[in-house]
Amino acid sequence: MSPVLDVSRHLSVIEYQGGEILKRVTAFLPEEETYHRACRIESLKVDLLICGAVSNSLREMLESRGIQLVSFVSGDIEDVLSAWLQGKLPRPELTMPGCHRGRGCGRRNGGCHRGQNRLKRHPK
Amino acid sequence: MIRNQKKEPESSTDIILESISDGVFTVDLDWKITSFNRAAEEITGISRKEAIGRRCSEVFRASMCEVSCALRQTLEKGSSLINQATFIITAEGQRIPISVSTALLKDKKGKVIGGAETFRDLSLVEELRKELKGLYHLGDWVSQSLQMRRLFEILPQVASSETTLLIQGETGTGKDFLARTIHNLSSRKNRPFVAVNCGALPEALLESELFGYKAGAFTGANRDKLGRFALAEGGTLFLDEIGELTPSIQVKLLRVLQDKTYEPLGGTRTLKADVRLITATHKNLASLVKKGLFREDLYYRIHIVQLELPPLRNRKEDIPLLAEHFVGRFNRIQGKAITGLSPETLSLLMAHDYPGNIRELENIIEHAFVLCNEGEIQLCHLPESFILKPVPGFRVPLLGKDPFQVLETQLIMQTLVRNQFDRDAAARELGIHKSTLYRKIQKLKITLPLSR
Repeated sequence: MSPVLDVSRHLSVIEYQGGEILKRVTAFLPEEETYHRACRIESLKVDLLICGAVSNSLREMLESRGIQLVSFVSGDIEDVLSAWLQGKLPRPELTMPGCHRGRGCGRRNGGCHRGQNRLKRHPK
Repeated sequence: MIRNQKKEPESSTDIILESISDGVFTVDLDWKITSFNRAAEEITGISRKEAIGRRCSEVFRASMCEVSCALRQTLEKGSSLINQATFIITAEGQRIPISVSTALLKDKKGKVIGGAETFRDLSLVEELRKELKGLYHLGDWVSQSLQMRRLFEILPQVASSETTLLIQGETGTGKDFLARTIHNLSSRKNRPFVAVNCGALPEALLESELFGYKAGAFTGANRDKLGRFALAEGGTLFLDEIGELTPSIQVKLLRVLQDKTYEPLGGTRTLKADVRLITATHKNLASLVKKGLFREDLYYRIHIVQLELPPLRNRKEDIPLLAEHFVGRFNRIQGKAITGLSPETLSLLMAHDYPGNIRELENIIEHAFVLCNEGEIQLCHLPESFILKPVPGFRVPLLGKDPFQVLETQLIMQTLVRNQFDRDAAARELGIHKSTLYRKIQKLKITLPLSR
């Protein structure tokens, strides 16, 4: 996983249904400015974004565009994806340090466990 | 500095590292953190207990980690890096500007066993630098312009009111950033800020985007979807390019402003909207009203307070500052160490009129970053189209280092091109005698096309 979403160069865009991957493409993310970056991610029409560290400003811009974030996730992308599809994310070994016990990690209210069961993608 | 091993007696080095205000951590050859001092804990917001044993990029979370990791460069090249500018993301999501230095870690036999990184929090330095430069700043806005100062002065009061705002300004002047700054200064700052570009969506889509829809409202609406008004509940909704709204959406928006209520597409229930509206346009709304293209009642509802963002050509004193800002940002993002702009480059940038405003300046600097690897950005790094459109036989002289001469040359060349190399017309436009212009052309070594 890329450590900082604010500067990461690529997004792996995955369509899934019922725990099964339907399509997977890599999107280039050349935009440097936070606002333009948020617009670019919005244009990819993603419902959910699993990422590493993210600044409050970018997180707010994405959430205000209706994109749900599971942030401060670390580890190998395949492990993260597999954990997500099995409904096992977040989990401590795939979470960046400083992001448990309900504190911190870019959220004003609560820790990193939000939305675990609410994030479903409907590709059609 | 407390290491991984337990109960190890503290050496004098450990005591020193614990007492300094610079963050220090060390990694092994697998990029796992082996030590993490007190200042590192404070700056990153991560305890050493959590940090030790984790990969450094997961703990440090610097903008340089992915593309230009300083420690990787040091371990690969065997040499230290000093004061590389970057930023980190703390556990609270804050971006902290820092400078980073690295060194190799060797055992007693001289074998490389890892690397050490020290980093300094530059937040306070950045703040003080702005103060010392006598800059006007508000939030992320920095300016030397009096026009912007007046804007900064009224912004806190404007932000604290609940009034609907209209921001007017040309494309690229930063209307969206101003809207966000107002939101961040307001009592709604902990609630969402939602932005919609009204010009980017067709009417049907814009209506469903703004107000949402219920399942079954139209073909393909399989589930309820919240609109931007609902997403911005309790916060601020920023409607950019409001001059592009169609008459039917104008009516619906007027109703929200008058009654604070709306109905999602296909919905039967009226919803309440607790949203502050900030609108923006690059068009002259008053003239659209006169032409009957924009509703007069809506116009008076949204332009209760109007803020004007000046075009960059009217605040050219900010060009060096903005250029410096962009150079710093691209340095951080691209891991380069460009030192700034050469005097002649800056002169040329100052002479330009920027129809694309700040965004255009940003694009020019970004272009220069592709071609410039180190040192100062020179004229040759600027886009060719920006320097001068090529005309057969029209030779551009090698520009010297005197900024006045560079400016004068550029001005004369642009005027000549604009007047199809008619020297009489160019002299008239410049307000000088044609013989004076001729002397200047000779002195500045400008070669005109033969046919002219």
